[in-house]
Amino acid sequence: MIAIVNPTSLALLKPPGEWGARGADIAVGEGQPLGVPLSSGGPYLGFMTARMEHVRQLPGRIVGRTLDVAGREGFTLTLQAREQHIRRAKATSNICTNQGLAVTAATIYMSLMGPQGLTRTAAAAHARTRELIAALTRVPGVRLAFPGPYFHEAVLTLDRPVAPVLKSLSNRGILGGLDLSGYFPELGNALLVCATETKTLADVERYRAQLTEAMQAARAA
Amino acid sequence: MPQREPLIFEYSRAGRGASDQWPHEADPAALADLPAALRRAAPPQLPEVGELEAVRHFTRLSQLNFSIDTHFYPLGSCTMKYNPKACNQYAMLPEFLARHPLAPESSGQGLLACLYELQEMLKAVSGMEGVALSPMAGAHGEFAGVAMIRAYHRARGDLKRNEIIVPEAAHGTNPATATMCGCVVREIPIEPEGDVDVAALEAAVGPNTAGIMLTNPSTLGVFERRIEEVARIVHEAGGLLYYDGANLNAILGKVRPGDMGFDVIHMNLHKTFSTPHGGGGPGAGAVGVGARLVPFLPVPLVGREGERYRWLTEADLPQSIGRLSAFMGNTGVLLRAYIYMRLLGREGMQSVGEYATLNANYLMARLRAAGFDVPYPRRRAGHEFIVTLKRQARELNVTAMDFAKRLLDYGFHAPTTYFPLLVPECLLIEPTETESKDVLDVFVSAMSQIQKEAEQEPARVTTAPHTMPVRRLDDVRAARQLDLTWKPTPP
Repeated sequence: MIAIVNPTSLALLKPPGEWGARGADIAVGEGQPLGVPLSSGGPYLGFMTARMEHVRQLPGRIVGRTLDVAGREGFTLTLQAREQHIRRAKATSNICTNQGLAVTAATIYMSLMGPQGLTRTAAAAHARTRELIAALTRVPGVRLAFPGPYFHEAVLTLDRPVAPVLKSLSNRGILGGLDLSGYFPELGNALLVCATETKTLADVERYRAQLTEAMQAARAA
Repeated sequence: MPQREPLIFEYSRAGRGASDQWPHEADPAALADLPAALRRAAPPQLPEVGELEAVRHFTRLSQLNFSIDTHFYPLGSCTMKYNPKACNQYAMLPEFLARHPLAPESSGQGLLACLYELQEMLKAVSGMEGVALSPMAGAHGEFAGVAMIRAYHRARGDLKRNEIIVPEAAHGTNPATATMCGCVVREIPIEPEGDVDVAALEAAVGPNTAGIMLTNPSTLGVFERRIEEVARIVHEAGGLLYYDGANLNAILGKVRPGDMGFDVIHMNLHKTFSTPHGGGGPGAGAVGVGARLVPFLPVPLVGREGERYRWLTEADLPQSIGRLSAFMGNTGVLLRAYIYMRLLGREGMQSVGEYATLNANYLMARLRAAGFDVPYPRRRAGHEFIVTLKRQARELNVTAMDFAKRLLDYGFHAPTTYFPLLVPECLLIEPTETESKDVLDVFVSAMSQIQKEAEQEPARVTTAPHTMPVRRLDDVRAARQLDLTWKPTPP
């Protein structure tokens, strides 16, 4: 089983290693939430973790701890017999250059957060998203698409096309979310919204007020 | 000698934390809607350290590194040239850094203009008809290139063509990439003077030939002298030509792969166009293609309609090989490369290839005069060259690895060792165009000094380094007694 996870959510949610009776075999995800700037899509880091039994099939660089000739601890790239510069056409991947700097940023971020900080971050993101959903679903013509629990983003259904509403919001200084109608036409006028710990209650209230006006503007148009 | 720096986990004390960096505390009641069965029992085992401890820890770790800003870094094949500070400064403008990848085009026209101009400049540099910026590393660009070659043959119904020819001097990524794209690799030999064996190529091509992947100058540090012949043979056999741009720095501003007849090239922007890639990355592996492959380029591209820029997608290029990343690859890296090219301008760009090859040939001549052997003494160097220490290994029992480790004590990052595999006991040395003659002269003195040590007190060299945080590491132990993840020591 391969688990695809948001790393921040794992401060609150059961880690893939504990899913089901024997846990996931591989867990992967986008590392951008761990302190990496949005930067129009990159550079980010992805992460791929696996049970030890799969380690020799992993692609890319792996760092291991070892000793030097004087018995001092040190670090080195290891299991390189999997890699392209040794195995050529039989390598497990062709990867050389990687996302090293973003990995360093994520390491520093997680060190500064620690277990308490990351848990606070995840809880704040979830709480703010609940507040956002509660506020936006008070706007006439807006409802929550799915009844199940969510972490920090949720789908809203509007009673009119999403694109003109988003455009109107954009003119009011708000990038309102992702129009899902191109991705999932079967959902109708679906809008994916998200809040993180970086948003304030005032931001939520401003979005609600502007959405109310944008919905009216879209109806008038 | 620097002290051992503990792992950040070892600084951890229960309850400590960089709390100024944490967000506000949410009302615990807000978590009530998360089902208990989905909640984790205990918080993740991350280090608990104060902000100052973290700052000191990571600052100390950074000081254990060699970097371009602190050391000469002649790591062959990696083009560790100076990264101008202005490139970082402008690419880090908050309006670039904080932009969401899904923000509308109307609010990203400045970024799209930069990327469009970068596409145009890379076309001008490479002599190609189309450029895609989304591959995130050289190997990723290779993948895009070979995938396009396959898509081209398939679109013509030429389904047999699945063989990629690779000279044996090629970087290991070339055959690894071809395999990942579902091709079969045919390696061909190299002639004694370092050129591709054209007779072997003629024998290798046929109705199954998808293409050839060629690096120029090759990993042996010399220019291929029979490129036009190689191009003719492969094209006449129905294959396409792939130019591995890993060594583009040698020809920048002088000749263009498009003019040599190549159908596709990847360009390592982190090498030739100077974006920082110490620590392994991030990079960017833009691909350029000739007219035949333009319809197959990966998306997104940036298009211009009048004064307006927009993303070109699958709808614009229905034959595209698709997406190689969720968005526009490593956009932040692309911006740095763009700013670098704008800083250099046309004349600056022309002098890159000139000074890169001048520095390499100067350094090679000085090392030869100092008594070091090169495998191709009758050839001039490209932007890098090989020194072989076969004689020292035989006569003095001092190897290329020993020289490389001893160079660290002299304050130089080691050249690439034991690559290419064809040359025994080799150092692949790439000075780049940004080093002064003074630095190259000091490097020659260090090599001569190490040679003297190898003759007079070889143990000094064979047990090097002596001044680094660690000495030689036990790689066998690392692979046999795998220690890949931190585990808490039981109380």
